Amino acid sequence: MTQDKSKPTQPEDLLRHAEALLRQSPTDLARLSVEDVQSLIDELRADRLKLEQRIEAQADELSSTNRKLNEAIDQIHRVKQALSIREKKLDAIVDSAVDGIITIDENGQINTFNAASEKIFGYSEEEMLGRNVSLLMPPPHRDRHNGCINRYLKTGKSTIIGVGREVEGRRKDGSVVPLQLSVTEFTIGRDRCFAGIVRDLTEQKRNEREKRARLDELSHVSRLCLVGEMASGLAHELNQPLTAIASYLQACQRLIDAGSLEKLKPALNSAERQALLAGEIIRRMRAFVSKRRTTMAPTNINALIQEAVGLCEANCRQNSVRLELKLAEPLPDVCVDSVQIEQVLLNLIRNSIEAMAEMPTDANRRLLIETGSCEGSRVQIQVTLKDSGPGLAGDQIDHIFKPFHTTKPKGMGMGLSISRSIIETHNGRLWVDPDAPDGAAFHFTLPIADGSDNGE
Amino acid sequence: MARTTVNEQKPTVFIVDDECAVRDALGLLIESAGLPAEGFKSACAFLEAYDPDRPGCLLLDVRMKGMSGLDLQETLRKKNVAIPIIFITGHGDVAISVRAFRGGAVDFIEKPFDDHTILNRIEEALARDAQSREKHAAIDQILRRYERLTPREREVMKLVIGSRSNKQIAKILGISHRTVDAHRARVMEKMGADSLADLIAMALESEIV
Ligand SMILES: Nc1ncnc2c1ncn2[C@@H]1O[C@H](COP(=O)(O)OP(=O)(O)OP(=O)(O)O)[C@@H](O)[C@H]1O
Ligand SMILES: [Mg+2]
Repeated sequence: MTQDKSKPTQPEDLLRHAEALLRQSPTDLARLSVEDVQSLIDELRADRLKLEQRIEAQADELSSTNRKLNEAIDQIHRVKQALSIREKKLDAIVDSAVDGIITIDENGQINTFNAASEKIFGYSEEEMLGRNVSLLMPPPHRDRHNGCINRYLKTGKSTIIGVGREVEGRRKDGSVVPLQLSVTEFTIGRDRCFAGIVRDLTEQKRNEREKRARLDELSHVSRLCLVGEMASGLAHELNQPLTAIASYLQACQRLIDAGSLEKLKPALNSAERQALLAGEIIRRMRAFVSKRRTTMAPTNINALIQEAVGLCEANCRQNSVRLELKLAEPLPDVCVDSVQIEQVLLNLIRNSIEAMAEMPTDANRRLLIETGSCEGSRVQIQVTLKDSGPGLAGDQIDHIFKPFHTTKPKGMGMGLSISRSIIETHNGRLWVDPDAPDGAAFHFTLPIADGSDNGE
Repeated sequence: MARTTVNEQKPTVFIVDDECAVRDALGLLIESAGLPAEGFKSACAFLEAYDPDRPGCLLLDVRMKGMSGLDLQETLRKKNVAIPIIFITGHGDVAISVRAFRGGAVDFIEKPFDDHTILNRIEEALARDAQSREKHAAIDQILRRYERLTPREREVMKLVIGSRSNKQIAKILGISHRTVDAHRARVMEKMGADSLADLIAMALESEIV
C-alpha cells in the first residue's frame, strides 16, 4: 500500500483512500494510530469543504450561463417575430403596391412578380417566377437585355439604374404598354439582384395625347377665328409694302423716261426692301394660319435665333435698332417645332422693335438676345430678350398675355398670348421680368431634348 | 371771306400717310410726274404745317395711328378748309368709305394703285381745287364791289333784281323816276354788270339776295 506515502490531493482520491481504509480488516485498522485517523478525518473534512465550495461555484456559473442562454433564446424569438412581421409587411406592401415590382437575379430570372405587375402584364406570378424578364420586353429590346445586364456587371455602366425613364413593355397578349421604369440594385449574400418598379403610363399617355390634341385644336380654332380678324389687319399690313413697291417702280419708269437716272438706284433699292418686307409678312401669316401637324425635332435654339434675327434685320435697320446676340455655345438641342418657336421669337422681337420705335429717335435703341441653360428639375434652355424701350408698367404686366390686349392702333394683341401657348405646349414657360431696370425683358424656357434612345 | 386774288402758285400734292415707305414712294412718283409733293407722317403734322391759301390736293391715308384720315377730314371741314381730298384705303374699308363720302370726300383710291389712276385722280382734284379757288375769287370780287354801293343803291339793286320796273321802284322808294334811273345806272357800273341778267347772276352766285 502506498497511500501513506503518496498523499491523495484530489477529493476524489481522498475519498477512494478513505474507502480503502474502511475496507481493511479491523486488525489492520487497529494498527492505525488515533492520530492517523484523526488527521485523515480532518483531511476529509477539509476536502469536503473545498468540494462543496467548488460545487457551489460551478452551480453559480451554470445558472448564469443558463440565464444568458434563456435571454439569447428570447432575443432570437423576438427577432424572429419582428422579421416575420417585417416580411408580412413587405409582402403586403409589394402586393398592394400600385406600381409593378419585379426583382430579378443576375441572369435576369424573375424572383418577385407582384400583383400590380400581374395586372400590367397579364401574366400570373406562377407563370413568371423563374422566367427571364426579357419576356416582358418588346422584340428590339428583348434580345439586348441580357447583354445589358452583363455589360453592367462587367463595366458598372448602365443607362437605367438609378435614373428612371420611359420604356415600352410587352403584355402577355403581345400588345405594347408604355411604362415608367426605375431600377435599383441590391445584393443577397454574394448574389447581385435588381428590383424594377414599373408604372403603367397608358392612362397618362392618353391624357397627354388628348390634352395635346385639344390644344392643337384650340390653337387652330383661335387661329381660324383670328384669320377673319387678321384678314383686314394683314391685308392692310401687306398693302403697305405693295403700294410702296408699285409706286417706286412706276416712279422708276418715269425717271427712265425723263432720263433722270441718278434717282433710279435709291428708288429701286427702296422697292426691293419693301418686297422683302412683304415676303416676311406673308411668311409669318402662313406659319400662323396654316394648321400644320406640329413636328417636333431636336433643334439648336441658337440657329433658330439666327434665322429669326435674319428675318427681322430690315425691320431693325429701318427703326435704327441695334441687335446684340449673346448665345451660349455649345448648347444642348431642344426638341421643338421650329416654325412655332421661330414664330415666338419673331413676335417678341417685333414687339421690342415696335416698343422702341415709340422712343425719341436719339434714344439708344438696343435689343439683346441671350441664351443659356438653367438647372431645374430638368435641364432647360433659357432665352432672354431685353430691349431698351419704354418697358411695361406694373399693371400692364397682368394683361399683356391676354388675347386681344393691345396698346397699338394696328395691333391685334395676339402676339404674346399665342407665343405663351406655343411655349407651354412645349412644356416651357414664357414670362416677363417684372423688375427689369429699364426696357422690357421677356424670358422663355424649353426643356432639352432627350438624347438617349428608348428601351433597355 | 378773306380770299383776295386767284393764287398764282403751282399746286402741291400733300401726302399724309403714317407708313414711311408709302409716303416716300408716292412722293417720288408724283414728283416724277412733274408735280411738287410734300409728305406728312401724321394728320397733326399736316394740320400744323398747312397754309389754306396754298393750292393743291390732299392724298390721305384712311387708317393711321393717332388721328385717322376721317378725323382730319372732319377737322378741315370745321375749319372751312376746302382742299380736295383723295382718300387712300386698304381694300375692304367699305364702312369707312361710306362715312368719308358722307363727309364730302371727293375721291377714293384703293391700295395698291397704278400710276395712271392716281395721277389722273390727282389732276382732277387739282382742277377742282383751281375751279373752286377761282369761284371763291370771283365771289370775293362781287362782294367787294357790292360793299362800295351806297345804302340807297343797294336798295335799288335788290328791287331791280326782283324784276321791278323803274316806275314801281320809284313808287316803293317814294323817289322820282329819273332818280331811280340814275341809281340804276350807277349800280350797273359799280358792279361791272353788262345787263340785268348779268347782275342777277352775280347776286345769285354771291348770295347777296
Ligand atoms: N417689348 C415690349 N415693350 C413694351 N411693351 C410691350 C412689349 N411687348 C409687348 N408689349 C405690350 O404688350 C401688348 C401686347 O403685346 P402683343 O404682342 O400680344 O400684341 P400687339 O403687339 O399689340 O399686337 P400683335 O402682336 O397681335 O400685332 C402690346 O400692345 C404692348 O403694349
Ligand atoms: Mg406683338
